[in-house]
Amino acid sequence: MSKLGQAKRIIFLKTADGQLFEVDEPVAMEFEIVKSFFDENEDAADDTVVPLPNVSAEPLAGIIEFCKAHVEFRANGAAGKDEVKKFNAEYIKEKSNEQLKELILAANYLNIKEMLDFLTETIANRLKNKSVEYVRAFFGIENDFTPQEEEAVRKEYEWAFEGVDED
Amino acid sequence: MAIIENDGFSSLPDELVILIISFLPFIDAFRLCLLRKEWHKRALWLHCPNFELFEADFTFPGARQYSFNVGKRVRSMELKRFGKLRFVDFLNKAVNGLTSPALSKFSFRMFYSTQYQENVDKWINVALSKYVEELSLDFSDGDPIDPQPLLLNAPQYVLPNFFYENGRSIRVLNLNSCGLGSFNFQNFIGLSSLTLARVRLHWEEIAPLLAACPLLESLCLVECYRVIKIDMSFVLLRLKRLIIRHCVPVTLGVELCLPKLQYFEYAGRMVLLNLSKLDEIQEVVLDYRLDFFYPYEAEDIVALFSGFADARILKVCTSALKKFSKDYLLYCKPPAHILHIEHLTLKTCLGRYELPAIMCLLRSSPHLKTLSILSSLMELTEYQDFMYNRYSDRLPEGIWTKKGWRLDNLERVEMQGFTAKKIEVDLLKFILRKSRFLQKLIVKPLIRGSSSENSKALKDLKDVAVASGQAVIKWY
Repeated sequence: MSKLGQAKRIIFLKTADGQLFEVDEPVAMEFEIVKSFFDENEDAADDTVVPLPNVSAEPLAGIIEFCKAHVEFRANGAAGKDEVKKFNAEYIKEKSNEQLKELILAANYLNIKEMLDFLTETIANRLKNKSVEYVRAFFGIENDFTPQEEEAVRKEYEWAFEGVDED
Repeated sequence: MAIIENDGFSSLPDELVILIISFLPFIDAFRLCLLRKEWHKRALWLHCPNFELFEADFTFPGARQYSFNVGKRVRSMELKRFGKLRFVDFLNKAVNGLTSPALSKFSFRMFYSTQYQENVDKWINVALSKYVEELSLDFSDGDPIDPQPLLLNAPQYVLPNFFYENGRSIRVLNLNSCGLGSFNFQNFIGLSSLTLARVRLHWEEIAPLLAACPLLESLCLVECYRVIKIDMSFVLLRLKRLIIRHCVPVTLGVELCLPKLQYFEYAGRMVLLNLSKLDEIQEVVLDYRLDFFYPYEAEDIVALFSGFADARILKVCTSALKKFSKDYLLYCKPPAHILHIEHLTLKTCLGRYELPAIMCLLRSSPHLKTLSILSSLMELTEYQDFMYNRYSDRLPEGIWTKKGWRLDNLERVEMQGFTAKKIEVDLLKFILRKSRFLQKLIVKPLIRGSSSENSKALKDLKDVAVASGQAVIKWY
């Protein structure tokens, strides 16, 4: 009962583009970087604003949505169940590759292992059995081989270019 | 950490590329690094913990086909040798460079010749030193065919003693075409799945050693030779999955007493199967090979089925069950004890001589929910063995109208490879009349499109007095 009486602690996060986010404590503690900020500054006041100079508002909103859902899943004992998979699939469906990349960079900076694993695995699944050309176009990866180098690599590692799905 | 706008994934820091790579199979990891010179140059793929490489991929496509032209054949042998050199060279370099401290998977396929023994030793050693969990060593030429008698005597790679001493981390082990060496599995305490393919198998020597693995749940024996008998009573009591495929000659049969077994698959010659205590069996696959000689009588087969009385899923090749007499068609003989079967798949040529066995199976499974019939075109005219003539006369009168039992749980029937043979149509009509709760009958003709035979057969089926009100006939 005592817990209900206590007001939920809110953590303030400030993004690179100057937006202020109010996040419930358990969700914010999913971010290793926030956690270690409070571990290092134990006497920090409750209304301290944690600056996140490498994250902008859009990916942070996405990350908070993801972590909030997963904190709830864990509280309900639903971790690892179909419910979670369904949520994850829905979550990722709407994201463009550019958004995905932003999310990955942000999750990497905030150091959220669970989410980072999920995001990189999603990318990995999108890469499987795809041709080099397809992946370059799909993920907007710039080809920095010269045509001669590319041809030499192709000849040497012919096996790696074979057996891919039709684009 | 400055992020350049809109350059896609090019600017992804190495640590994140490596994280992505850790989720990829080896070939995809390598391909990923070919996207950018930087990634390729720094060989980020060496961080991939799932190592897998096949010699055949290194051979030029032209060298993979057999040619009748001698000149071409010599040329293709040279290309193959060149491919092998490139493969060994690449593997050597890769194994030296693998950065990941722990490997989930290490797998290669290379047709062995003795000059590579040291290399192979080294590869295995590195994999073991990285606590590999899944190890696959395949020394076959990669074609899934019967072992060629000539190759049986070729020098093999024999698993060295250090392999057995250091295999603690291995959970999944797949061995193909190699000598088993001392086969001392005492250190393999984590082993849960073992596949032995094309190895000379002295089961009676190996079984007690395997019993030392407390976690072994899955065992697969494929095309093993010099197997006299496979006796799994009083060993491997924890086994959940067992697959025995085309092992020869198994003269003295297979004996199983596996109280935890859930899945059993046997493919190959009809041999004596002695089953007991299969208390948890769920699924059984019996894919008998067609043969010239059938040493067992119908009663033996019926008794065999009783050995997995608790199974729910049964797949069986009835083409080889030829010795069921006409008595089974007229229900003069007692059925098999397989009362719990819910899903039955029949691989069949639907010859007249198979019908007694099929009827026997249908009558023995009152709880059947789904029935799949995979009809194959192969007329057995080339198998003019003594059984073929037994049913060359007409089927007994009245078998399709005989009353007395129903398929009251059957919900779904599917027939693949339908050719509108009379016996196929008759069997389907029979099922339609017998099953009161059938919801769906799916017919997939061998040749798509509408021939006059097919449309006549469909009309025939639709005219039957269907026992079930909801039955839908779907025609592909």
